[in-house]
Amino acid sequence: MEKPDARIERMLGMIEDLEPTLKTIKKLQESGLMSILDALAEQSDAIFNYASTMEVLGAASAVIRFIPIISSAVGDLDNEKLESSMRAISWNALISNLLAAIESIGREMGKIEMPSTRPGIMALLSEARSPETTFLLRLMRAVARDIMDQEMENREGSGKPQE
Amino acid sequence: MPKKVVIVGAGAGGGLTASRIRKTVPEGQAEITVIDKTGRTDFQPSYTLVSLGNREPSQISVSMDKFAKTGIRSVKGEVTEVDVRNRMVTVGTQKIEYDTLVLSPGVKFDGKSFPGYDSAYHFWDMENSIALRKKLSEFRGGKIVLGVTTQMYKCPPVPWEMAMMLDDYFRARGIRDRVEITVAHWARKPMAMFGPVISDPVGRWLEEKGIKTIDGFKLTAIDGEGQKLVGESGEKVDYDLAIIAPPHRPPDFVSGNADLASSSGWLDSNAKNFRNRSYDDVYAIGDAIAPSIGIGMAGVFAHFQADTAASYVAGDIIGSYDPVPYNTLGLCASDTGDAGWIAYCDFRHKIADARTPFPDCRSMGRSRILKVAHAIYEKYFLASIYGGWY
Repeated sequence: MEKPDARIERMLGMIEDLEPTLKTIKKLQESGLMSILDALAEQSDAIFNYASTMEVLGAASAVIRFIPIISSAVGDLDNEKLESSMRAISWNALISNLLAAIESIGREMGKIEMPSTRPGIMALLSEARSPETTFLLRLMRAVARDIMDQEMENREGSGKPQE
Repeated sequence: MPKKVVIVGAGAGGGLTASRIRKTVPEGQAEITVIDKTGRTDFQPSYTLVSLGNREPSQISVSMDKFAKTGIRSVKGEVTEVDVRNRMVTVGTQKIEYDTLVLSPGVKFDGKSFPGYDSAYHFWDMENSIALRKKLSEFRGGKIVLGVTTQMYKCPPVPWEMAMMLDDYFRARGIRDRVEITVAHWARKPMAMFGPVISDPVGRWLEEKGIKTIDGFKLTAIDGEGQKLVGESGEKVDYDLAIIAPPHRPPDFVSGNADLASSSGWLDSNAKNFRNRSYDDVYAIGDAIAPSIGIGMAGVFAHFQADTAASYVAGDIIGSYDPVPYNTLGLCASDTGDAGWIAYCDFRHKIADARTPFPDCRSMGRSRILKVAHAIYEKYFLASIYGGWY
Protein backbone atom coordinates (compact mmCIF):
# COMPACT_ATOMS: atom_id res chain seq x y z
CA MET A 1 0.00 0.00 0.00
CA GLU A 2 1.23 3.47 -0.93
CA LYS A 3 2.40 5.61 2.02
CA PRO A 4 0.40 8.84 2.72
CA ASP A 5 3.48 11.06 2.10
CA ALA A 6 4.13 9.44 -1.26
CA ARG A 7 0.48 9.87 -2.18
CA ILE A 8 0.60 13.59 -1.31
CA GLU A 9 3.80 13.96 -3.33
CA ARG A 10 2.13 12.26 -6.28
CA MET A 11 -0.96 14.48 -5.99
CA LEU A 12 1.22 17.61 -5.77
CA GLY A 13 2.99 16.46 -8.93
CA MET A 14 -0.37 16.05 -10.67
CA ILE A 15 -1.47 19.51 -9.59
CA GLU A 16 1.79 20.91 -10.92
CA ASP A 17 1.15 19.17 -14.26
CA LEU A 18 -2.31 20.64 -14.37
CA GLU A 19 -1.15 24.14 -13.52
CA PRO A 20 -1.23 25.54 -17.09
CA THR A 21 -4.78 24.27 -17.52
CA LEU A 22 -5.85 25.71 -14.16
CA LYS A 23 -4.32 29.05 -15.12
CA THR A 24 -6.27 29.00 -18.37
CA ILE A 25 -9.51 28.29 -16.55
CA LYS A 26 -8.77 31.06 -14.06
CA LYS A 27 -8.13 33.52 -16.89
CA LEU A 28 -11.32 32.51 -18.62
CA GLN A 29 -13.23 33.08 -15.40
CA GLU A 30 -11.58 36.42 -14.75
CA SER A 31 -11.97 37.74 -18.27
CA GLY A 32 -15.62 36.89 -18.80
CA LEU A 33 -17.38 36.50 -22.11
CA MET A 34 -17.22 40.16 -23.15
CA SER A 35 -13.49 40.31 -22.59
CA ILE A 36 -13.01 37.22 -24.71
CA LEU A 37 -15.09 38.68 -27.53
CA ASP A 38 -13.20 41.94 -27.22
CA ALA A 39 -9.89 40.13 -27.35
CA LEU A 40 -11.08 38.09 -30.30
CA ALA A 41 -11.93 41.29 -32.17
CA GLU A 42 -8.59 42.82 -31.19
CA GLN A 43 -6.69 39.86 -32.56
CA SER A 44 -8.92 39.31 -35.59
CA ASP A 45 -6.14 40.56 -37.91
CA ALA A 46 -3.82 37.79 -36.83
CA ILE A 47 -6.58 35.20 -36.82
CA PHE A 48 -7.66 36.12 -40.37
CA ASN A 49 -4.11 35.89 -41.64
CA TYR A 50 -3.18 32.65 -39.86
CA ALA A 51 -6.53 30.98 -40.57
CA SER A 52 -6.27 31.74 -44.30
CA THR A 53 -4.49 28.57 -45.29
CA MET A 54 -5.41 26.08 -47.98
CA GLU A 55 -6.00 23.44 -45.26
CA VAL A 56 -8.35 25.51 -43.14
CA LEU A 57 -10.26 26.77 -46.19
CA GLY A 58 -10.42 23.20 -47.48
CA ALA A 59 -12.05 22.11 -44.22
CA ALA A 60 -14.48 25.06 -44.41
CA SER A 61 -15.29 24.08 -47.96
CA ALA A 62 -16.12 20.52 -46.87
CA VAL A 63 -18.37 21.86 -44.12
CA ILE A 64 -20.14 24.18 -46.57
CA ARG A 65 -20.91 21.17 -48.79
CA PHE A 66 -22.03 19.14 -45.78
CA ILE A 67 -24.42 21.65 -44.14
CA PRO A 68 -27.08 21.97 -46.86
CA ILE A 69 -27.35 18.19 -47.29
CA ILE A 70 -27.91 17.55 -43.61
CA SER A 71 -30.07 20.61 -42.94
CA SER A 72 -32.29 19.75 -45.88
CA ALA A 73 -32.67 16.14 -44.78
CA VAL A 74 -33.22 17.05 -41.11
CA GLY A 75 -35.60 19.83 -42.09
CA ASP A 76 -37.71 17.39 -44.05
CA LEU A 77 -37.57 14.84 -41.20
CA ASP A 78 -37.09 12.22 -43.87
CA ASN A 79 -35.04 9.36 -42.47
CA GLU A 80 -34.56 7.68 -45.80
CA LYS A 81 -33.32 10.91 -47.37
CA LEU A 82 -31.03 11.52 -44.39
CA GLU A 83 -29.54 8.05 -44.73
CA SER A 84 -28.93 8.37 -48.45
CA SER A 85 -27.49 11.85 -47.96
CA MET A 86 -25.11 10.55 -45.31
CA ARG A 87 -24.01 7.85 -47.74
CA ALA A 88 -23.44 10.48 -50.44
CA ILE A 89 -21.05 12.50 -48.31
CA SER A 90 -17.43 12.12 -49.23
CA TRP A 91 -16.30 11.18 -45.74
CA ASN A 92 -12.82 10.45 -46.93
CA ALA A 93 -12.38 13.98 -48.27
CA LEU A 94 -14.14 15.52 -45.28
CA ILE A 95 -12.06 13.73 -42.69
CA SER A 96 -8.79 14.23 -44.51
CA ASN A 97 -9.55 17.94 -44.66
CA LEU A 98 -10.37 18.00 -40.96
CA LEU A 99 -7.14 16.15 -40.24
CA ALA A 100 -5.17 18.66 -42.28
CA ALA A 101 -6.92 21.48 -40.43
CA ILE A 102 -6.15 20.00 -37.02
CA GLU A 103 -2.52 19.50 -38.01
CA SER A 104 -2.34 23.02 -39.34
CA ILE A 105 -3.83 24.47 -36.15
CA GLY A 106 -1.38 22.47 -34.06
CA ARG A 107 1.50 23.67 -36.21
CA GLU A 108 0.44 27.31 -36.30
CA MET A 109 -0.35 27.60 -32.59
CA GLY A 110 3.32 27.69 -31.75
CA LYS A 111 3.92 30.56 -34.16
CA ILE A 112 1.17 32.82 -32.86
CA GLU A 113 2.73 35.35 -30.56
CA MET A 114 1.13 38.74 -30.59
CA PRO A 115 2.25 41.44 -28.19
CA SER A 116 -0.77 42.83 -26.44
CA THR A 117 -1.25 45.19 -23.54
CA ARG A 118 -4.28 43.26 -22.30
CA PRO A 119 -4.99 39.56 -22.15
CA GLY A 120 -6.16 38.76 -25.67
CA ILE A 121 -7.37 35.55 -27.21
CA MET A 122 -3.84 34.79 -28.38
CA ALA A 123 -2.62 34.98 -24.80
CA LEU A 124 -5.38 32.59 -23.86
CA LEU A 125 -4.46 30.28 -26.71
CA SER A 126 -0.87 30.46 -25.60
CA GLU A 127 -1.93 29.44 -22.11
CA ALA A 128 -4.02 26.69 -23.60
CA ARG A 129 -0.94 25.13 -25.16
CA SER A 130 -0.72 22.80 -22.20
CA PRO A 131 0.05 19.05 -22.32
CA GLU A 132 -3.68 18.45 -21.89
CA THR A 133 -4.52 20.46 -25.01
CA THR A 134 -1.87 18.62 -26.96
CA PHE A 135 -3.36 15.37 -25.74
CA LEU A 136 -6.84 16.45 -26.83
CA LEU A 137 -5.56 17.43 -30.28
CA ARG A 138 -3.82 14.07 -30.62
CA LEU A 139 -6.95 12.29 -29.47
CA MET A 140 -9.01 14.13 -32.10
CA ARG A 141 -6.48 13.17 -34.73
CA ALA A 142 -6.53 9.54 -33.64
CA VAL A 143 -10.33 9.38 -33.69
CA ALA A 144 -10.45 11.07 -37.09
CA ARG A 145 -7.84 8.67 -38.48
CA ASP A 146 -9.76 5.71 -37.11
CA ILE A 147 -12.97 6.88 -38.78
CA MET A 148 -11.10 7.36 -42.04
CA ASP A 149 -9.50 3.90 -41.86
CA GLN A 150 -12.89 2.32 -41.24
CA GLU A 151 -14.31 4.24 -44.17
CA MET A 152 -11.48 2.99 -46.40
CA GLU A 153 -12.04 -0.60 -45.26
CA ASN A 154 -15.77 -0.33 -45.95
CA ARG A 155 -15.12 1.02 -49.40
CA GLU A 156 -12.58 -1.66 -50.20
CA GLY A 157 -14.96 -4.33 -48.86
CA SER A 158 -17.88 -3.09 -50.91
CA GLY A 159 -15.76 -2.93 -54.07
CA LYS A 160 -16.81 0.67 -54.70
CA PRO A 161 -14.30 3.02 -56.24
CA GLN A 162 -12.49 5.14 -53.69
CA GLU A 163 -12.66 8.90 -53.46
CA MET B 1 11.76 60.97 -30.25
CA PRO B 2 8.93 59.13 -31.99
CA LYS B 3 9.79 57.70 -35.43
CA LYS B 4 8.02 59.34 -38.34
CA VAL B 5 6.16 56.68 -40.32
CA VAL B 6 4.62 57.97 -43.55
CA ILE B 7 2.20 55.78 -45.47
CA VAL B 8 1.13 56.63 -49.02
CA GLY B 9 -2.33 55.28 -49.80
CA ALA B 10 -5.31 54.61 -47.52
CA GLY B 11 -6.67 51.57 -49.35
CA ALA B 12 -6.30 47.92 -48.45
CA GLY B 13 -2.51 48.10 -48.26
CA GLY B 14 -1.93 51.54 -46.72
CA GLY B 15 -5.01 51.60 -44.49
CA LEU B 16 -4.31 48.20 -42.99
CA THR B 17 -0.59 48.97 -42.57
CA ALA B 18 -1.46 52.12 -40.60
CA SER B 19 -3.89 50.34 -38.30
CA ARG B 20 -1.54 47.36 -37.79
CA ILE B 21 1.40 49.62 -36.86
CA ARG B 22 -0.80 51.68 -34.54
CA LYS B 23 -1.93 48.53 -32.72
CA THR B 24 1.63 47.35 -32.26
CA VAL B 25 3.63 50.52 -31.68
CA PRO B 26 2.55 53.01 -29.00
CA GLU B 27 1.94 56.64 -29.97
CA GLY B 28 5.04 57.79 -28.10
CA GLN B 29 7.23 55.65 -30.33
CA ALA B 30 5.69 56.27 -33.75
CA GLU B 31 4.06 59.28 -35.37
CA ILE B 32 1.99 57.88 -38.24
CA THR B 33 0.85 59.94 -41.24
CA VAL B 34 -1.34 58.55 -44.03
CA ILE B 35 -1.51 60.39 -47.35
CA ASP B 36 -4.24 59.65 -49.89
CA LYS B 37 -5.50 61.59 -52.89
CA THR B 38 -9.15 60.62 -52.29
CA GLY B 39 -9.07 61.20 -48.53
CA ARG B 40 -10.97 58.01 -47.86
CA THR B 41 -10.84 54.22 -47.79
CA ASP B 42 -13.19 52.36 -50.10
CA PHE B 43 -13.97 48.68 -49.99
CA GLN B 44 -13.19 48.34 -53.68
CA PRO B 45 -14.63 44.84 -54.25
CA SER B 46 -18.06 46.40 -53.68
CA TYR B 47 -17.80 48.84 -56.61
CA THR B 48 -19.70 46.19 -58.59
CA LEU B 49 -22.53 46.45 -56.06
CA VAL B 50 -22.51 50.26 -56.23
CA SER B 51 -22.85 50.01 -60.03
CA LEU B 52 -25.85 47.73 -59.67
CA GLY B 53 -27.50 49.90 -57.02
CA ASN B 54 -27.06 47.32 -54.25
CA ARG B 55 -24.79 49.53 -52.15
CA GLU B 56 -24.67 53.24 -51.48
CA PRO B 57 -21.18 54.77 -51.70
CA SER B 58 -21.40 55.74 -48.02
CA GLN B 59 -21.82 52.06 -47.06
CA ILE B 60 -18.48 51.04 -48.48
CA SER B 61 -16.39 54.10 -47.79
CA VAL B 62 -14.87 55.69 -44.66
CA SER B 63 -13.25 59.12 -44.44
CA MET B 64 -9.60 59.20 -43.38
CA ASP B 65 -10.62 61.72 -40.71
CA LYS B 66 -11.58 58.69 -38.61
CA PHE B 67 -7.89 57.90 -38.25
CA ALA B 68 -7.63 60.82 -35.81
CA LYS B 69 -9.21 58.85 -32.96
CA THR B 70 -6.28 56.42 -33.00
CA GLY B 71 -3.71 59.20 -33.19
CA ILE B 72 -2.98 58.77 -36.89
CA ARG B 73 -2.58 61.98 -38.89
CA SER B 74 -4.17 62.05 -42.34
CA VAL B 75 -3.31 64.24 -45.32
CA LYS B 76 -5.62 64.44 -48.33
CA GLY B 77 -3.61 65.11 -51.46
CA GLU B 78 -1.67 63.59 -54.30
CA VAL B 79 1.97 62.68 -53.83
CA THR B 80 4.00 64.37 -56.55
CA GLU B 81 7.49 63.36 -55.51
CA VAL B 82 9.35 60.99 -53.21
CA ASP B 83 12.98 61.77 -52.46
CA VAL B 84 14.34 58.62 -50.82
CA ARG B 85 17.84 60.08 -50.48
CA ASN B 86 16.56 62.92 -48.28
CA ARG B 87 13.60 61.00 -46.83
CA MET B 88 11.01 63.45 -48.06
CA VAL B 89 7.55 63.13 -49.59
CA THR B 90 6.02 66.04 -51.50
CA VAL B 91 2.25 66.55 -51.52
CA GLY B 92 1.38 69.71 -53.41
CA THR B 93 3.28 72.43 -51.57
CA GLN B 94 3.78 70.34 -48.43
CA LYS B 95 7.06 68.56 -47.70
CA ILE B 96 6.65 65.65 -45.30
CA GLU B 97 9.71 64.04 -43.71
CA TYR B 98 9.88 60.38 -42.75
CA ASP B 99 12.04 57.82 -40.98
CA THR B 100 10.11 54.93 -42.52
CA LEU B 101 8.05 55.12 -45.69
CA VAL B 102 5.39 52.60 -46.76
CA LEU B 103 4.18 53.01 -50.33
CA SER B 104 0.82 51.55 -51.25
CA PRO B 105 -0.39 54.14 -53.76
CA GLY B 106 -2.45 51.87 -56.01
CA VAL B 107 -2.58 52.54 -59.71
CA LYS B 108 -3.37 55.41 -62.03
CA PHE B 109 -6.08 54.93 -64.66
CA ASP B 110 -5.03 56.21 -68.02
CA GLY B 111 -8.07 56.02 -70.28
CA LYS B 112 -6.75 58.85 -72.46
CA SER B 113 -3.89 56.66 -73.69
CA PHE B 114 -6.25 54.06 -75.18
CA PRO B 115 -7.92 54.78 -78.55
CA GLY B 116 -11.62 55.50 -78.08
CA TYR B 117 -11.69 54.74 -74.36
CA ASP B 118 -13.76 57.84 -73.54
CA SER B 119 -16.87 56.09 -74.89
CA ALA B 120 -16.55 53.19 -72.42
CA TYR B 121 -17.78 52.82 -68.84
CA HIS B 122 -16.14 51.05 -65.91
CA PHE B 123 -16.51 50.15 -62.24
CA TRP B 124 -12.87 50.19 -61.11
CA ASP B 125 -13.32 53.31 -58.96
CA MET B 126 -16.15 54.93 -57.04
CA GLU B 127 -16.86 57.85 -59.37
CA ASN B 128 -17.07 55.66 -62.47
CA SER B 129 -19.17 53.07 -60.62
CA ILE B 130 -21.71 55.79 -59.86
CA ALA B 131 -21.74 56.86 -63.53
CA LEU B 132 -22.20 53.24 -64.63
CA ARG B 133 -25.05 52.82 -62.15
CA LYS B 134 -26.95 55.64 -63.84
CA LYS B 135 -26.23 54.24 -67.30
CA LEU B 136 -27.39 50.74 -66.29
CA SER B 137 -30.57 52.03 -64.68
CA GLU B 138 -31.47 53.70 -68.01
CA PHE B 139 -30.56 50.64 -70.08
CA ARG B 140 -33.65 49.10 -71.64
CA GLY B 141 -32.08 46.45 -73.86
CA GLY B 142 -29.23 45.76 -76.27
CA LYS B 143 -25.70 44.43 -76.23
CA ILE B 144 -23.47 44.81 -73.19
CA VAL B 145 -19.83 43.83 -73.68
CA LEU B 146 -17.32 43.54 -70.83
CA GLY B 147 -13.61 43.62 -71.56
CA VAL B 148 -10.18 44.85 -70.55
CA THR B 149 -7.58 47.09 -72.15
CA THR B 150 -4.67 45.51 -70.33
CA GLN B 151 -3.26 42.21 -69.08
CA MET B 152 -2.72 43.68 -65.63
CA TYR B 153 -5.85 45.09 -64.03
CA LYS B 154 -7.37 45.08 -60.55
CA CYS B 155 -9.25 41.90 -59.57
CA PRO B 156 -8.68 39.55 -62.54
CA PRO B 157 -11.92 37.49 -62.11
CA VAL B 158 -14.21 40.54 -62.05
CA PRO B 159 -15.24 40.83 -65.75
CA TRP B 160 -16.86 37.39 -65.64
CA GLU B 161 -18.19 37.95 -62.10
CA MET B 162 -19.80 41.22 -63.18
CA ALA B 163 -21.32 39.49 -66.23
CA MET B 164 -23.07 37.00 -63.91
CA MET B 165 -24.18 39.83 -61.61
CA LEU B 166 -25.59 41.70 -64.62
CA ASP B 167 -27.50 38.57 -65.62
CA ASP B 168 -29.13 38.57 -62.17
CA TYR B 169 -29.70 42.35 -62.29
CA PHE B 170 -31.59 42.23 -65.59
CA ARG B 171 -33.56 39.14 -64.56
CA ALA B 172 -34.73 41.04 -61.48
CA ARG B 173 -35.78 43.93 -63.76
CA GLY B 174 -37.64 41.48 -66.01
CA ILE B 175 -35.73 42.46 -69.16
CA ARG B 176 -33.03 39.78 -69.32
CA ASP B 177 -34.42 38.50 -72.64
CA ARG B 178 -33.73 41.92 -74.17
CA VAL B 179 -30.10 42.09 -73.01
CA GLU B 180 -27.19 40.23 -74.57
CA ILE B 181 -24.21 39.96 -72.23
CA THR B 182 -20.76 39.12 -73.62
CA VAL B 183 -17.30 38.96 -72.04
CA ALA B 184 -14.57 39.60 -74.62
CA HIS B 185 -11.28 38.89 -72.89
CA TRP B 186 -7.70 37.98 -73.78
CA ALA B 187 -7.81 34.82 -71.61
CA ARG B 188 -8.18 31.63 -73.67
CA LYS B 189 -11.03 30.50 -71.36
CA PRO B 190 -13.00 32.34 -68.65
CA MET B 191 -10.66 32.83 -65.66
CA ALA B 192 -8.07 30.62 -67.37
CA MET B 193 -5.32 32.33 -65.37
CA PHE B 194 -6.47 30.36 -62.30
CA GLY B 195 -6.38 26.95 -63.98
CA PRO B 196 -9.12 24.45 -64.82
CA VAL B 197 -10.30 24.02 -61.20
CA ILE B 198 -11.72 27.53 -61.43
CA SER B 199 -12.09 27.99 -65.16
CA ASP B 200 -14.19 24.89 -65.89
CA PRO B 201 -17.06 25.54 -63.45
CA VAL B 202 -17.12 29.26 -64.26
CA GLY B 203 -17.37 28.42 -67.97
CA ARG B 204 -20.36 26.18 -67.23
CA TRP B 205 -22.08 28.83 -65.09
CA LEU B 206 -21.68 31.45 -67.80
CA GLU B 207 -23.16 29.09 -70.36
CA GLU B 208 -26.02 28.20 -68.03
CA LYS B 209 -26.83 31.91 -67.65
CA GLY B 210 -26.72 32.55 -71.40
CA ILE B 211 -23.62 34.76 -71.16
CA LYS B 212 -21.48 34.72 -74.28
CA THR B 213 -17.69 34.73 -74.18
CA ILE B 214 -15.19 35.71 -76.82
CA ASP B 215 -12.00 34.10 -75.57
CA GLY B 216 -8.53 35.18 -76.64
CA PHE B 217 -9.82 38.63 -77.65
CA LYS B 218 -7.07 41.25 -77.42
CA LEU B 219 -8.71 44.66 -77.47
CA THR B 220 -6.72 47.30 -79.34
CA ALA B 221 -9.24 50.13 -79.80
CA ILE B 222 -12.81 51.19 -79.12
CA ASP B 223 -14.78 52.68 -81.99
CA GLY B 224 -17.17 54.85 -80.00
CA GLU B 225 -19.00 56.22 -83.02
CA GLY B 226 -19.60 52.83 -84.62
CA GLN B 227 -20.06 51.21 -81.19
CA LYS B 228 -17.58 48.43 -81.84
CA LEU B 229 -14.66 46.94 -79.96
CA VAL B 230 -11.71 46.32 -82.26
CA GLY B 231 -9.46 43.32 -81.66
CA GLU B 232 -5.82 42.70 -82.51
CA SER B 233 -6.57 41.09 -85.88
CA GLY B 234 -9.15 43.70 -86.82
CA GLU B 235 -12.12 41.61 -85.63
CA LYS B 236 -15.05 43.70 -84.35
CA VAL B 237 -17.56 43.20 -81.57
CA ASP B 238 -20.74 45.31 -81.58
CA TYR B 239 -21.95 46.90 -78.38
CA ASP B 240 -24.57 49.26 -77.02
CA LEU B 241 -22.79 49.55 -73.68
CA ALA B 242 -19.08 48.79 -73.30
CA ILE B 243 -17.82 48.16 -69.75
CA ILE B 244 -14.07 48.07 -70.08
CA ALA B 245 -11.21 48.06 -67.55
CA PRO B 246 -9.10 51.15 -68.24
CA PRO B 247 -5.31 51.00 -68.76
CA HIS B 248 -3.58 50.71 -65.37
CA ARG B 249 -0.32 52.60 -64.93
CA PRO B 250 2.03 53.25 -62.01
CA PRO B 251 1.51 56.65 -60.34
CA ASP B 252 3.60 59.43 -61.90
CA PHE B 253 5.85 59.80 -58.83
CA VAL B 254 6.90 56.16 -59.34
CA SER B 255 7.44 55.91 -63.09
CA GLY B 256 9.97 58.72 -63.25
CA ASN B 257 11.89 57.68 -60.13
CA ALA B 258 14.79 55.24 -60.62
CA ASP B 259 15.17 54.77 -56.85
CA LEU B 260 11.59 53.53 -56.53
CA ALA B 261 10.80 51.72 -59.77
CA SER B 262 11.85 48.24 -60.81
CA SER B 263 12.76 47.35 -64.40
CA SER B 264 9.03 46.88 -65.08
CA GLY B 265 8.45 50.57 -64.31
CA TRP B 266 6.29 49.66 -61.32
CA LEU B 267 7.26 49.96 -57.66
CA ASP B 268 10.26 47.90 -56.65
CA SER B 269 9.67 45.41 -53.83
CA ASN B 270 10.11 41.77 -52.91
CA ALA B 271 7.72 39.09 -51.68
CA LYS B 272 9.51 38.45 -48.39
CA ASN B 273 9.69 41.70 -46.43
CA PHE B 274 8.51 44.24 -49.06
CA ARG B 275 11.52 46.51 -48.64
CA ASN B 276 13.01 48.48 -51.51
CA ARG B 277 16.22 46.74 -52.68
CA SER B 278 18.42 49.79 -52.05
CA TYR B 279 16.63 51.70 -49.29
CA ASP B 280 15.66 49.53 -46.34
CA ASP B 281 13.58 52.33 -44.80
CA VAL B 282 11.22 52.20 -47.80
CA TYR B 283 8.56 49.51 -48.15
CA ALA B 284 6.20 48.99 -51.08
CA ILE B 285 3.03 46.86 -51.21
CA GLY B 286 -0.27 46.53 -53.05
CA ASP B 287 -1.31 46.85 -56.68
CA ALA B 288 1.68 49.02 -57.62
CA ILE B 289 4.15 46.18 -56.87
CA ALA B 290 2.10 43.42 -58.53
CA PRO B 291 3.99 43.42 -61.87
CA SER B 292 7.35 43.57 -60.04
CA ILE B 293 6.73 40.48 -57.90
CA GLY B 294 4.73 38.56 -60.51
CA ILE B 295 1.33 38.47 -58.86
CA GLY B 296 -2.09 39.87 -59.78
CA MET B 297 -3.66 43.08 -58.51
CA ALA B 298 -6.16 42.42 -55.74
CA GLY B 299 -7.04 43.82 -52.32
CA VAL B 300 -6.44 40.51 -50.60
CA PHE B 301 -2.79 40.51 -51.70
CA ALA B 302 -2.38 44.04 -50.36
CA HIS B 303 -4.10 42.90 -47.14
CA PHE B 304 -1.61 40.13 -46.37
CA GLN B 305 1.31 42.23 -47.61
CA ALA B 306 0.24 44.94 -45.14
CA ASP B 307 0.31 42.40 -42.28
CA THR B 308 3.88 41.47 -43.16
CA ALA B 309 5.20 44.96 -43.96
CA ALA B 310 3.64 46.40 -40.77
CA SER B 311 5.34 43.71 -38.68
CA TYR B 312 8.74 44.62 -40.18
CA VAL B 313 8.10 48.33 -39.60
CA ALA B 314 7.13 47.55 -35.99
CA GLY B 315 10.35 45.53 -35.66
CA ASP B 316 12.39 48.48 -37.01
CA ILE B 317 10.88 50.76 -34.36
CA ILE B 318 10.50 48.67 -31.22
CA GLY B 319 13.50 46.46 -31.83
CA SER B 320 12.08 43.02 -31.07
CA TYR B 321 8.99 42.02 -32.93
CA ASP B 322 8.60 38.76 -34.79
CA PRO B 323 7.82 39.39 -38.44
CA VAL B 324 4.58 37.99 -39.81
CA PRO B 325 5.52 35.68 -42.71
CA TYR B 326 3.90 36.69 -45.99
CA ASN B 327 0.74 34.70 -46.61
CA THR B 328 0.73 34.08 -50.36
CA LEU B 329 -2.90 33.04 -50.40
CA GLY B 330 -5.38 34.87 -52.60
CA LEU B 331 -8.95 34.69 -51.41
CA CYS B 332 -11.90 35.95 -53.42
CA ALA B 333 -15.46 36.08 -52.08
CA SER B 334 -17.14 36.26 -55.43
CA ASP B 335 -20.68 36.66 -56.64
CA THR B 336 -22.47 34.60 -59.28
CA GLY B 337 -25.56 36.77 -59.12
CA ASP B 338 -27.84 34.10 -57.72
CA ALA B 339 -25.30 32.75 -55.19
CA GLY B 340 -21.92 33.28 -53.60
CA TRP B 341 -18.70 31.50 -54.32
CA ILE B 342 -15.25 31.59 -52.75
CA ALA B 343 -12.13 30.87 -54.75
CA TYR B 344 -8.84 30.50 -52.91
CA CYS B 345 -5.45 30.08 -54.47
CA ASP B 346 -1.92 29.66 -53.17
CA PHE B 347 0.45 31.78 -55.28
CA ARG B 348 3.63 30.57 -53.55
CA HIS B 349 4.95 28.66 -56.59
CA LYS B 350 3.79 31.31 -59.03
CA ILE B 351 5.74 33.99 -57.15
CA ALA B 352 8.83 31.76 -56.93
CA ASP B 353 8.75 30.88 -60.64
CA ALA B 354 6.90 33.09 -63.10
CA ARG B 355 6.75 30.21 -65.59
CA THR B 356 4.28 28.35 -63.31
CA PRO B 357 1.16 28.34 -65.50
CA PHE B 358 -1.32 29.03 -62.73
CA PRO B 359 -1.57 29.03 -58.93
CA ASP B 360 -2.86 26.14 -56.84
CA CYS B 361 -6.58 26.97 -56.68
CA ARG B 362 -9.69 25.49 -55.12
CA SER B 363 -13.15 26.81 -54.50
CA MET B 364 -16.13 26.49 -52.22
CA GLY B 365 -19.72 27.07 -53.21
CA ARG B 366 -21.59 28.03 -55.33
CA SER B 367 -24.02 28.39 -52.49
CA ARG B 368 -26.54 30.95 -51.27
CA ILE B 369 -24.91 30.78 -47.83
CA LEU B 370 -21.75 32.25 -49.34
CA LYS B 371 -23.54 35.38 -50.58
CA VAL B 372 -23.02 36.63 -47.06
CA ALA B 373 -19.22 36.08 -47.17
CA HIS B 374 -18.67 39.19 -49.29
CA ALA B 375 -20.78 41.32 -46.92
CA ILE B 376 -18.94 39.98 -43.86
CA TYR B 377 -15.55 40.72 -45.38
CA GLU B 378 -16.74 44.22 -46.37
CA LYS B 379 -17.64 45.02 -42.76
CA TYR B 380 -14.57 43.31 -41.34
CA PHE B 381 -12.26 45.17 -43.73
CA LEU B 382 -13.45 48.66 -42.79
CA ALA B 383 -13.68 47.82 -39.07
CA SER B 384 -10.20 46.35 -39.18
CA ILE B 385 -8.76 49.66 -40.40
CA TYR B 386 -10.85 52.20 -38.49
CA GLY B 387 -12.42 50.19 -35.65
CA GLY B 388 -16.18 50.39 -35.14
CA TRP B 389 -18.89 49.24 -37.53
CA TYR B 390 -19.56 50.91 -40.87
